[in-house]
Amino acid sequence: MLLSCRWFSIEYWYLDSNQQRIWSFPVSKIVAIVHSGSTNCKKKIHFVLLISRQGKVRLTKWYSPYSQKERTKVIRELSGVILSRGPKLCNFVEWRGYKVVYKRYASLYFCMCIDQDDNELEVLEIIHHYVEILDRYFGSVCELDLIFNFHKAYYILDELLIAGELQESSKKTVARLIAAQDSLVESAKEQASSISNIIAQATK
Amino acid sequence: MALSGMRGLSVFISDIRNCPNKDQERLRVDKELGNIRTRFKNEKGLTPYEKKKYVWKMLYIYMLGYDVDFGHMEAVSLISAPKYPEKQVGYIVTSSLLNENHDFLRLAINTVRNDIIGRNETFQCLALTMVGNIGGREFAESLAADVQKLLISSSCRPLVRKKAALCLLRLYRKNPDVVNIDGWVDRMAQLLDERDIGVLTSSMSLLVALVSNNHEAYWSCLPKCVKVLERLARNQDIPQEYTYYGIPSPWLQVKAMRALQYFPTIEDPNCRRSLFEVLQRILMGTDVVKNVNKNNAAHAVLFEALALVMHLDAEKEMMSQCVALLGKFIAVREPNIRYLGLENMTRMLMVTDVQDSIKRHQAQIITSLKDPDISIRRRALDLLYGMCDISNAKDIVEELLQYLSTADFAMREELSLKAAILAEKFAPDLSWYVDVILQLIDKAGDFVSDDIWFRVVQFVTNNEDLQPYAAAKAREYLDKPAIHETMVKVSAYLLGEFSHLLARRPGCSPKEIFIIIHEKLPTVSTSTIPILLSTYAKILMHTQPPDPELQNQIWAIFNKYESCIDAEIQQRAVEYFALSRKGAAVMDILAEMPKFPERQSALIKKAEVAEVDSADQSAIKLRAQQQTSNALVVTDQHSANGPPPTVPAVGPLTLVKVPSTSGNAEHTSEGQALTQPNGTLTKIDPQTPSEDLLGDLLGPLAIEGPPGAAVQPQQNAVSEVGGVPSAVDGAAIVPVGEYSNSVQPIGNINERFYALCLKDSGVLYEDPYIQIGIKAEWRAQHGHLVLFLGNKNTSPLDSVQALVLPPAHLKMELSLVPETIPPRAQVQCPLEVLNLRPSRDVAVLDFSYKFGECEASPSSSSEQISSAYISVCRRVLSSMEISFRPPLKLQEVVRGVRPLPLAEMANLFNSFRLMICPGLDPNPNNLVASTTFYSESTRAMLCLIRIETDPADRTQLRMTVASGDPMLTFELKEFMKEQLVSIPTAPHGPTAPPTPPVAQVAQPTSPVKALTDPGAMLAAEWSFEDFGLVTRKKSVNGSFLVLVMDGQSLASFRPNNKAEPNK
Repeated sequence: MLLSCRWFSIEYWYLDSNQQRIWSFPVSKIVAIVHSGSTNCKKKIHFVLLISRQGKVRLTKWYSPYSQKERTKVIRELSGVILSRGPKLCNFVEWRGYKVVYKRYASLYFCMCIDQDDNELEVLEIIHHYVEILDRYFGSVCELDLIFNFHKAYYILDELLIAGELQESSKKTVARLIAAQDSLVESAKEQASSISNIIAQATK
Repeated sequence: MALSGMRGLSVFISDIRNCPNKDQERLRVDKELGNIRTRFKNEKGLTPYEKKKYVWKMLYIYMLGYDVDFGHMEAVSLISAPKYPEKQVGYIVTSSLLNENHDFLRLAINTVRNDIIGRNETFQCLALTMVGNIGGREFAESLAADVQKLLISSSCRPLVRKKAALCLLRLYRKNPDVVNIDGWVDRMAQLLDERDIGVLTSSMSLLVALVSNNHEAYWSCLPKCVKVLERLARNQDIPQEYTYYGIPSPWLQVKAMRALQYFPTIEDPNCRRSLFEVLQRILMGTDVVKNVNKNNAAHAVLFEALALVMHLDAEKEMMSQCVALLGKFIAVREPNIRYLGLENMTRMLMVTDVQDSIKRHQAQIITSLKDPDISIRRRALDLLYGMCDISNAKDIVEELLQYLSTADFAMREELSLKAAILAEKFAPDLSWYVDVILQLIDKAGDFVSDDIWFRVVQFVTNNEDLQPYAAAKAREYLDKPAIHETMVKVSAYLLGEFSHLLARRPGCSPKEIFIIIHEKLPTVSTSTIPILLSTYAKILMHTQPPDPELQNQIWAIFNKYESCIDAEIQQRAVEYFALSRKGAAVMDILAEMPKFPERQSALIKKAEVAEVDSADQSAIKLRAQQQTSNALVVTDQHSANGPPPTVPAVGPLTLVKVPSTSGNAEHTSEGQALTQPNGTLTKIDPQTPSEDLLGDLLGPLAIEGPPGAAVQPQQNAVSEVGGVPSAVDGAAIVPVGEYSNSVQPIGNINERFYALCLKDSGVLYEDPYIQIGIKAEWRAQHGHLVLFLGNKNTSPLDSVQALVLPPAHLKMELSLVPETIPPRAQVQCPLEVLNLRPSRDVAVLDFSYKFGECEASPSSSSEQISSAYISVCRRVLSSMEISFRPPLKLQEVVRGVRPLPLAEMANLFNSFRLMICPGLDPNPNNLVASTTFYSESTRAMLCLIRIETDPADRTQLRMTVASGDPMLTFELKEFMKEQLVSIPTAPHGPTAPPTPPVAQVAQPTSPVKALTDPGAMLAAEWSFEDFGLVTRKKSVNGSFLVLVMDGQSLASFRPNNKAEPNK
């Protein structure tokens, strides 16, 4: 319990202090710390963010506890950093002692925030994996799909990630589960409408 | 495509999209929020479908950045809806809107639990997903057991079990104390045999979390991980849907290798062999391919394999293979790979023997410093910083300096700090170091923190050879048209101190220097003006013979600032003005600053602290950090007494203390001024300067510090007279409150400290987790101490930190303390001590550690590092012809002394290495002892002590101390007083022989207690034995009696009778 509290306070510290972190730490040191087991509260992905080129938020998912205020601040800061990066640069940005792995698909930026010593390429491919699943579901997905069906993007993300960890690496399985959910919703709807029809009929 | 449209929602989204500007959008949103509010209020008319729609709308509004707190309750309440569509929305929106700290979540716990233990698989999935994403402590408490059951249940389908695994992972990570994982070793091993890759992936994540907390328990999972890895690498039995661009689940491969990195080694040879086969295959078999995703996935696996190889510290051949690969990566065009190449090369630096092969890539790395991508530039900078050593420092630092002028602002501070650290660490010669720092300030003044220029000032002050060079350089920079304020500060300081060394050079007459510095004054801020004023004062002082014109100019400036609104400036102006009218006397006061005590570079400390911050911002480190900021500024650990060092350069300003030589009272002040050579303007504070430092740092433990001298005697006196047991002492002084949330030490630290004052080895501190022992050896003024840190537990102590805060008179160097002390192990840390001059201040050991999962408990223990060598020398007595007069000889009547038989007092003296010289004094009630005190300033110094006791009243005595150094005499006298007044031994019954009182002794205040004193008898015997000596001495020294003593810091003396070198 204490450890987890400590963890919170660290997060707060990063987010509250106004000064931008000037340090990027020699990674070697961090590795050493991790291996000595003192930071065992590691998380994979801290949050997922979808931002449009205009800086509009299309999806947010927070796996670490951020308050509303912090969330707004993070989004504002990160969209500043990421949207201003030119093409042909690498897909990683160092930010407040974390790393943000991002990838641009058409007008949308998919961003995931991870710890310094996580495997960046692995996360980059999680992003692509997610995009492929969205693509398969919507049939050549575009930003408009994600605007009008943002709830679907949430459903799919929940089938892909839990607690900031990848839960399913098979596109087929995810597609199957989402389809099952959809049919559950559909059948409930039909049921409801048929019942209301019956009632409507009966009360006529 | 099954898009179940909600028309209302779509319309709303379209409306928002059609808003031409932000104001319109806000209007539309407000209207919608109003609508939602009223609908929620009259809940009766709300169909489940409508409720669902409004909750979705709320989430959308929330994403736009508006506040929807009022609707949290509605979202949470949907969780308990009976039907799937509503429940689903409830779960998803709740987990997106709330975080684990929201109180509303508590309302849902019961529903969530019912869903988890219920039979409905889809409900189970929804509940597990939400708990996995935002589950907090209460969820862990009420759900962990149920989730564990689901994970291992054979009746559950994979889709539930994989969610259960990750849900459990979340609960365990957040609250490892709540989730009971007993017996999970076998279950984890079973889970790793799982065929379903989805469940296996989730279980592997769970394993990583478990192993990272306690790798020892999960040994049995190690071969299973290797097996999983083999299965993937060979692509055996992997369903097509789990291959990603032809690579069998790269994510699972990465995870398995990550888990393996938490085991220290792999002992089983078979297992090791097959793992290395797999790794070899990955290292060799990964080629750059056209398809970006395939390439990324393959390299994700490759980099993880590299990390694992480094961790296992494999054979040399494999290592050099890795370095070769990385060398290739840092030269490719693909930015991601180049970035990771640099990053991993930095990690590689930790591995021994590869530094040289990394150095071969230096040119390529420097190219990356100019990469258009800041992420890559950062990595390159980090790598250059890490690989820098004496051989390439010059190249690298110059490269960094060159880059500094073009670097982007985001990197400049880091860049300049790193350049400064490297320059200091690896400077081939000191003038180069000065050059580098001045260039740094010149090029990136805004980004050079104060620490950097403080450090260069320190260096220059401490190295005389460097002073003319630095002053000349500073002079050159002042010629530049526009210079940064920091440059003004540093050059003003350097020129103030050392410009007289340049006097003969052209353009360096005091007047010219004054003019050029004064030109800058209108451009600087208030923090710089005080420094300039000091510089003027110093210039004035160095102008001999005085130049009236210059003098008038400077006085006019002082006059002008006498009414300045800034207190610091005003004070300086007033004081300098007054001082500078004193003529030649100013020479003493404004003399050059004394050397700074050597200490670890604050820059490096800062870097270390900053590094630690990333992982651990514990209180103790914060404290250390605060301390560093003072440390550099202030040459001594004074502070709180003087004004807070807002203007860091106040330190240097200080006036050198005025040597005072007459009278006892003067002495007191001198002793204190000495320990505080850096306060502001000769303000002599009657309090001991280090009190605050110790008080702040150590709280309860500070009692060993000098303040004890002030407090304890009275306390003891009271307790003794009143007959209160002496054990009260410790308790009385320790503020109990401060202890409450730290580990309780075993035994009285105070007593241990005193015991150690009398012995060369023993236990300094002990608590349930750790024992700190100490052993000391002294040779003249050099001490070699060893700290023994013993872990008393079966689990390792982490984050061990030890910091020695030496008093001004001791130079101490503590060797590196390991971060972790293994279970039941003892670590030895040598500590070198050099005594500079006499003083009673003690050093303080600030020690902290973290035990297991319990909170980091900074248990600081104070420690004496005392020092004293006394080599007894009777023969020295022949040198007694020197006539001792105050301040070399001091005499004082001490009252309130703990009654002690003479023999015991003699033993006490012996244990302080004050050699008793029996028989020197014909009066059997007197003790005479001698010693030699060693320190840098005094060298070997003979000290003599004579104690005259009153047999009628043992609570008082007269003490006479003499030595060749006034300060030593004073400190020794004070020390003896402290010791005699407060020795923590069990009090013996006060006894006194019936001999007549010594004439000088003041009137006894307490009744005579007993009539016999074996100690006195014994002493009398001794004196008769050595009577010849006594008479001889008497003839030399008249009636004055002598005790020779040594003891350097007088802080405490340690006995070493057998090893006593009879010099």
